[in-house]
Amino acid sequence: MAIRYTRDHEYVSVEGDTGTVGITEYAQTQLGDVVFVELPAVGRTLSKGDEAAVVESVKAASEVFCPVSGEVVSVNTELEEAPGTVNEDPAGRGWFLKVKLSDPSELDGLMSEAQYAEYLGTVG
Amino acid sequence: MKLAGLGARDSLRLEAGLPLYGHDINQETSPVEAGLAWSIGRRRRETGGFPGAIRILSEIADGPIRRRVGILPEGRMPVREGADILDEAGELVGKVTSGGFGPSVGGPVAMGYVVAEFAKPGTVLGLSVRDRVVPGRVVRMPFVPHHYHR
Repeated sequence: MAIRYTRDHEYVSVEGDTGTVGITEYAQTQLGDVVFVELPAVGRTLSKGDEAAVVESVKAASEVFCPVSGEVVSVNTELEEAPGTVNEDPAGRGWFLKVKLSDPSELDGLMSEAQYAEYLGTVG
Repeated sequence: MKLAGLGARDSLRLEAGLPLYGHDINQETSPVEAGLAWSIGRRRRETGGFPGAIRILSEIADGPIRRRVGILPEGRMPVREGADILDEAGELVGKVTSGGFGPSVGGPVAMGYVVAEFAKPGTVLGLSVRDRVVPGRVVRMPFVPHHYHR
């Protein structure tokens, strides 16, 4: 399983041809208490960079962009009732959506864990 | 006293129903439509002659065209500044001037201006957020009872 990161602080965790998309620990810290998450419809086809979801904290509404292209195969409906899960466990139970990758080569353009850690050093 | 961030201050004043200058009131707002007519003293009402008196006194007498109201959006989605307010037919009747998640209320709260006939508490309105319309209900403010000294 490989995890790749975007400069907008989304992650995609890949298993086989499915990528699980969410926001990083850094992103949830920056947002503060998450109070609402709007998720895409299952079956929707997203292109890399499309708005995939909206995450709202007490402070602001922010778009979550899809790091990879593909069809949405499932969304984390648990977030409707418990949006705070994004704060508690962004890399785990706080995932947003799963996409069936249509072009796995797009992953090469994203950052590895080490590269993302280095990137965070430059934005912090 | 303790330090508090701007986000905390904003959600607290919103839940208290207090208008924020530059958002809920500005140089074009009359105190009457903003629900602040209590700030016009009796002597001024009787003698007039102060800046804005013509408009303010006529609004006190005949009612303003629009009024500032509190709105409780249904569900959990925050409705923020700039959202259109629609009547049941989908016609534009106002705009949200501030809104967000009220931690004490435990859900979204909003404040905005609507055409006066839609300002009655209990009126159901549509709130346009991104590509959908969520229902909301006009309510009396404050959303949370005041505990501060006036």
